[in-house]
Amino acid sequence: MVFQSWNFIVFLFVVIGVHRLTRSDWRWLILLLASYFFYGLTGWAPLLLLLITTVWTFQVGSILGSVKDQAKRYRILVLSVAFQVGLLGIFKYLGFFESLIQQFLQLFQQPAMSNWHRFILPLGISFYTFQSMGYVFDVYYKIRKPIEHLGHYALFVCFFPQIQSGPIGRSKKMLPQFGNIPNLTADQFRFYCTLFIWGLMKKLVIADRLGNYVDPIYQQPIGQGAWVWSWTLLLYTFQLYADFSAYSDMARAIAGFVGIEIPENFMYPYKANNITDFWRRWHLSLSGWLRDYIYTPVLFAFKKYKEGAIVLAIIITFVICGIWHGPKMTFVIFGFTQAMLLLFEYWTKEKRAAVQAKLPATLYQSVSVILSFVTISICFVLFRADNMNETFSVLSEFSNWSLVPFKSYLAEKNVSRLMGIIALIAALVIFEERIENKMRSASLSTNWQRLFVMVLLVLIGVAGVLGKDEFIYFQF
Amino acid sequence: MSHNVSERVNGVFRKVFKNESITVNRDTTAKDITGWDSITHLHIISGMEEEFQIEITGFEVMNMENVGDLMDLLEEKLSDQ
Repeated sequence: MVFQSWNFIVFLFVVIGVHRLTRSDWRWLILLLASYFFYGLTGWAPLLLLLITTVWTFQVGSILGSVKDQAKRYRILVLSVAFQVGLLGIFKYLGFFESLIQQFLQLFQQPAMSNWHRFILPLGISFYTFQSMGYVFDVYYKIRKPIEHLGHYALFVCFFPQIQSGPIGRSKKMLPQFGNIPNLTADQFRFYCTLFIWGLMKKLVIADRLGNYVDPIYQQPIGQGAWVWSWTLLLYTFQLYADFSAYSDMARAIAGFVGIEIPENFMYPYKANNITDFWRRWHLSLSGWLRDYIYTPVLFAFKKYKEGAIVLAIIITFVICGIWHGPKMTFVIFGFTQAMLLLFEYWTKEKRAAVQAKLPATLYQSVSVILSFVTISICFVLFRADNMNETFSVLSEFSNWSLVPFKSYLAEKNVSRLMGIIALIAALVIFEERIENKMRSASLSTNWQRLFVMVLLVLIGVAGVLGKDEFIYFQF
Repeated sequence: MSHNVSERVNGVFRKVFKNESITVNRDTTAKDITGWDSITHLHIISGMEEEFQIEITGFEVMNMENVGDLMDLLEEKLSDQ
């Protein structure tokens, strides 16, 4: 059930209605039942898996809270993480490991194995696994005490606005909210309405429209030439951002409607002036999780190796980041590429600072932003392509800079629509931060809000692509 | 003791950031100092280990929210010596 469907809107109205009629200290129960209903629609087996994860991590948290011996606590942590990674491996990565083993056997001319059983990927498994694993880490590191209320904890793991695609919540911020969930103020309600429609506009008008231009080119990558591909990479870079940030905005708004605050996921990533900066702005809930629970522990565990610890921590973190997105070699290479780029930036930090000191600030900043954007757009080929062969096919097209394929591409398209696309992207780049700051502003007038919502609804009515019912990040 | 620790902690920060004007207090966090990223944090911790001749584990690093937490840990370790 996607956020932009009528079924979901009806479901949401019912939940908000019952929530409003319930005492503030019992609202967690309404949200828990609604979340299990919402997730249960995907099937009994995924729901059972979710329940197993919930009970397991709750119990592990309780045990970690009562055990004093640090070595024993460490062993419990390792066992818990192994169990959760094992479940994720069985349901998400079995096919990937199978194909790696088959390729390995082929290499040594050994007979292939019989095919392994494949499971259907449970929706949101990567998100709720990381969210619940984060709670276990928090208890282990004594960042928080184990929670005693199983109902509150169960809601933390399955909360319906974020279970499909995040943002990955943190126990320290989310769990304290469930004890007493207040009514919304009128200002808050208006803000969340605006945020939801803003997200809906980004999804229907920008992401899905750009997708209509990107998908056909990826279906037939050969012979398009460098110009068509440059244009397509630009469109996909904005499509991916618009799609995921739209989902995140809508998820935040829906959580807000039922009185729960969940974290923001993006901080204008295409304004980043290097790749390190990009990862401080992109998918914040995942990058923050990886920083706190993978990168920092690895960095400090190997700190005696100084430079070696930095290299190791960056590579491990980003390979996990890549593979978290899916069981494909393209994601592994994507993560490794990001690690190499970050290490390059680390090693050239002083040289880049020297160049920066010699150039006018605006020039250096503009060139840095453009270079970072182009680099990310190229890396996103690995994100979008189905496999490495397709990635190589796309990249090899950059040896053909003939204008002929681009001219025939333009001839097939409606020029005014293309101009509209360019205007939309330009508007997103120029105005997004200002609009969102205005939306957050406490002094925002009701008239401005009404006008803004009207404009968004008109845009959706005129230029929205209806009928696509998935967000890109659902596959992860 | 506390005053001495505070002075030496400031000395390490000045050395790591190559900036003699930096002064940290118990409430200082990474957000307050430009350039205090995870790699600089590693250099700060290594600097503290060298200055105070102690060892700080990854587990202890995970619990630090501000310079005050770091100072408390240093004082605890020094009193154990």
